[in-house]
Amino acid sequence: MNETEIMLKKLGLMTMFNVRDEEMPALVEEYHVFMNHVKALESIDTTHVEPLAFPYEIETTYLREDVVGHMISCDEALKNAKCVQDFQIKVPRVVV
Amino acid sequence: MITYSIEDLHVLFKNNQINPKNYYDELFKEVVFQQKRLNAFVTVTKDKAYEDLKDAHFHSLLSGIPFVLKDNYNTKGILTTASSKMLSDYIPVYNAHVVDQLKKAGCCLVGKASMDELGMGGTNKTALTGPVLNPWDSSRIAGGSSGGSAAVVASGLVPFALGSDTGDSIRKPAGFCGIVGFKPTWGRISRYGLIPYASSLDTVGAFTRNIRDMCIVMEAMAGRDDRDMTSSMREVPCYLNNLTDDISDLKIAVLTSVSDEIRNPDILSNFQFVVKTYKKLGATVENVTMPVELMRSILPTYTIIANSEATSNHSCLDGIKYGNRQDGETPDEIMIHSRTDGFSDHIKRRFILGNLALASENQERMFRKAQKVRRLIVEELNKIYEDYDIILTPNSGSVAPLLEDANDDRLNDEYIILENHLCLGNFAGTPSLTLPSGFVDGMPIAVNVMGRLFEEQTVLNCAYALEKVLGLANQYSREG
Amino acid sequence: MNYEQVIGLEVHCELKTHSKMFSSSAVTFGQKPNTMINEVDLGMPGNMPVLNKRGVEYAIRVCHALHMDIDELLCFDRKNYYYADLPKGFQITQNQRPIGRNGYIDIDVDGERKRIEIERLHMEEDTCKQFHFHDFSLLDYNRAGIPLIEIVTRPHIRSGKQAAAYLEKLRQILLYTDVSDAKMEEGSMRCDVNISIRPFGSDKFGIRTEIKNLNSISNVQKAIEYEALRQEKVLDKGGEVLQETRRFDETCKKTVVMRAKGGAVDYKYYTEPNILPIRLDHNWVIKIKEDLPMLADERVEKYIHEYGLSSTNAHILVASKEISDFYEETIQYCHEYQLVCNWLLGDVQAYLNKNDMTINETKLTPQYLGKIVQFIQDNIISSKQAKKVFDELMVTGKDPEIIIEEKGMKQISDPSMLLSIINEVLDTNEQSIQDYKAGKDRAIGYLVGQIMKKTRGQANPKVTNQLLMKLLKERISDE
Repeated sequence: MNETEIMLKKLGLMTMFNVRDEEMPALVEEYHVFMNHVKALESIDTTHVEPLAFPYEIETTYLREDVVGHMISCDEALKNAKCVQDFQIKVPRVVV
Repeated sequence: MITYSIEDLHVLFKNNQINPKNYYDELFKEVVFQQKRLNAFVTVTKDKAYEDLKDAHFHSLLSGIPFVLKDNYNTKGILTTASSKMLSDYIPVYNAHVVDQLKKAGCCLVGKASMDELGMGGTNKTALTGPVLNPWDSSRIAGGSSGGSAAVVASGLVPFALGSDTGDSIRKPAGFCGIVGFKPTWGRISRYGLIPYASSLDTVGAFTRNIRDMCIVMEAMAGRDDRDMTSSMREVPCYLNNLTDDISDLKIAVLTSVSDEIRNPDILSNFQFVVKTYKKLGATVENVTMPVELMRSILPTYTIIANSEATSNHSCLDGIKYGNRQDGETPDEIMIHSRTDGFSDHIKRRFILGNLALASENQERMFRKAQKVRRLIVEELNKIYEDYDIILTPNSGSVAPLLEDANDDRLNDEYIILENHLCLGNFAGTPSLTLPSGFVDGMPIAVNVMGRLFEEQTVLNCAYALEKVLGLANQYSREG
Repeated sequence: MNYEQVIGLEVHCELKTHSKMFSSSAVTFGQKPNTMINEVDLGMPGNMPVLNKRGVEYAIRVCHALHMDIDELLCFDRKNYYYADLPKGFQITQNQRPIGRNGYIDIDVDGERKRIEIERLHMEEDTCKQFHFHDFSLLDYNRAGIPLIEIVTRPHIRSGKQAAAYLEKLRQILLYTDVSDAKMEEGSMRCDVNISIRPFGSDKFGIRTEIKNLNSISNVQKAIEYEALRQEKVLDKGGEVLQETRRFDETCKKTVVMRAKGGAVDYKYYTEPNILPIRLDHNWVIKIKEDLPMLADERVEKYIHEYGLSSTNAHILVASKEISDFYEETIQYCHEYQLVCNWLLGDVQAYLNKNDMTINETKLTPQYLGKIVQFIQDNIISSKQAKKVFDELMVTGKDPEIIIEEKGMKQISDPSMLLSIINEVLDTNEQSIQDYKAGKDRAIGYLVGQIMKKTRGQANPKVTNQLLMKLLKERISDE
């Protein structure tokens, strides 16, 4: 593996993916396309420009009153989980 | 018989001119036929539709009206996959806000429609259930990501369907399928319960076969929902009552930065005809441009923002609480194995690159840079809105591609502006509507009208005026 | 070499709101697993956060109590990482703009006052709770989404003792502002320590380690003391302190490595796209300050200057908010500030110690304690009787008034009532009057005994004595 591939393999793991060898060429290719995008933006002067995190600048004043509302049953909460024990979701021991 | 509009069907139901039960029987026969032809459904909810029909009183416009949801709207007790293996057996415990709204209005759910996996695509070829085909020519794609919803409306099955739009995911397929597709203002409709793609761009929207129906559907869904803090408190106008085809006081900007990119002569002349039509209707129509370097940066900006937000939004899909779960020795291994197995390769690539752009050592140069360019683009767009009510553009430079030709690679120079400009509406959050404008080689083509924030009415009026002149309302294709 | 310790503390504190920070499910403790949740807490696809007003109010209260600058525009960020206990794959927090900045707490250690500066206070949400077993873990989401505030000091702390004093003070503030149970043992208050050492006089920072999983204030102090010594030994041997995360092992009283720096997570913070910036009502923020409950330091001042308590007693009273609250309420019923204090710190405290209870777990109420003290003060019962009433009350929970009634304890202090009884006794005990006249003081004891017998011990001894002497003298002079 070259440097880019090692970096992408590691990045994959940080995104909780095991990038298989046969997937690597397509990922490298898309990485280059992506970096071209990054490069394309570099040519645009954004000095003194703030990032826009929402489509338009708007503030709200709404806060939810602290009242207990909608809840679901334990059955509903767990019905999509694949591994359940004693009304809880079971996973292999978490290493602390 | 099944191809009525909302208004027509309402009148027929209300006056007992057709039997609702018989109508739905025939509808579901047609569902089987169209599903074989188009592959538009992930789930057909026949029982649910008949159950919903029991509550119908037919007094209000949407009572008893059949509809289809894109499969990224949560439906309590009904499979919701977002066309991803990760959620291939996921049964939500709650309804999306708009699902509740439409239920309240009396609509009957016919099914959940196929989409590009998690909405991340423009071809609908990446759906877990396979590609969705175009009702006008089943060798072509319906477009994406809301391809299934577009196809069920364009084939005449249902008068409306919900889509969702992050870059052009409603408007592109609407254009390819010859129907109306509307992405209203970001914040106009609650996104609660919509499985997200990129939250700062995602918008709830719909497909119909005419503008009046679109008014009806929008009115039913729009408005404040306290569960979505970004939903607007502004009052919802009566879009249908306020609808007018008198647009003589409208100022329309033709964004030539986009239309000058058209290479197909038939599409170009169709667009010129639309421009001429608007002038004839009495609107002030003038050419405007945006700086080309900003126009060329739409796709890079979109790619970086959308993939970054998507990777964060979909971090919850880890196999622990729901969805695809694969074995592992540790929780981390379970997550890695489940996610590696649960997403298609192209989705994983996008998540990985999204994470690249969010990484703290890159974020300033990548994600935040894209957010800054987004601001520049939006500011440029808003300059146009200082003088104009509407921005008019062609919807696409081509008709729906053939299935084997279609891909998400839109970097080609010819396409970079023309095929990506609809993102402008997502960047700025502005209402943007696509409506059919004609046919090229037997396939529908379309134009897009985009208005100011929360000026849905102006957009609808502008589209309504054109629809009346062009006579392309209520078109569909059951065969082909 | 002589080293100086450089310590900063990060404290997480669960807020006792009714509902969660970003969802409307209930905040509870000890309920059946996975019953106090909804789609938001479980991180189900399509969920969206809505901020809890009381969560904000509580954060503001603490900001005020810590003398912080409050940012009236609330902004939230996502902290992205993958972990089994993190339902959404990110935590909603305030990274760029914490609600509070630049606060402080004054601590007193070894007779010296020191100001510990607080850099920031921000709001966030808790993760789900994990229960670890031999080869698996179970996940309970009831805790997921419970409001948290995180309070981060500047690296101004110089010893384990100072750290402990800071935590005591902070805990007191969290309790007195009434925003949290702040129990470290139960995890509603959690502390992470950042610690490095440097030669005295140096203004450079050494390489620091982080210590996590500390479940009591005394363990924080012990962990710091151990870790500082460990770092000193490393440096003295010419070694290098490694930047790593450690935890405190309670059984061997040592800090041990959890993960090295290489394992550090990149949290990829960015603006939470589902929460628009929220503009707080300035008047509301001010009102929260005006309505701030009285803090421990202010109560001490009040106890000393208004109620005349000693400084020692005042400090002992506020050391427990429960006791201090009980005191405050009791003196609404009975203005004998010193007596109430004596009772609380004396008999009541002794009872609590003996039975290992907190005051709110007993049958004693402020009203009852007030009554007891008032009865003593009004000479209705004697102190000795009061103890009996107290013992009975702690068992039965009966109103002291009823106990006194039932036991017939009520003292007769009314002179007109006592006068006739004493006269009766004198009338039938002429011999005793003569004995008294003859200088036999024993006669008085006998007469009091007779009076007590007649009143079944209810005669107020003080009043009885006074009246008896007066009447005796009258009878003698009459002869």
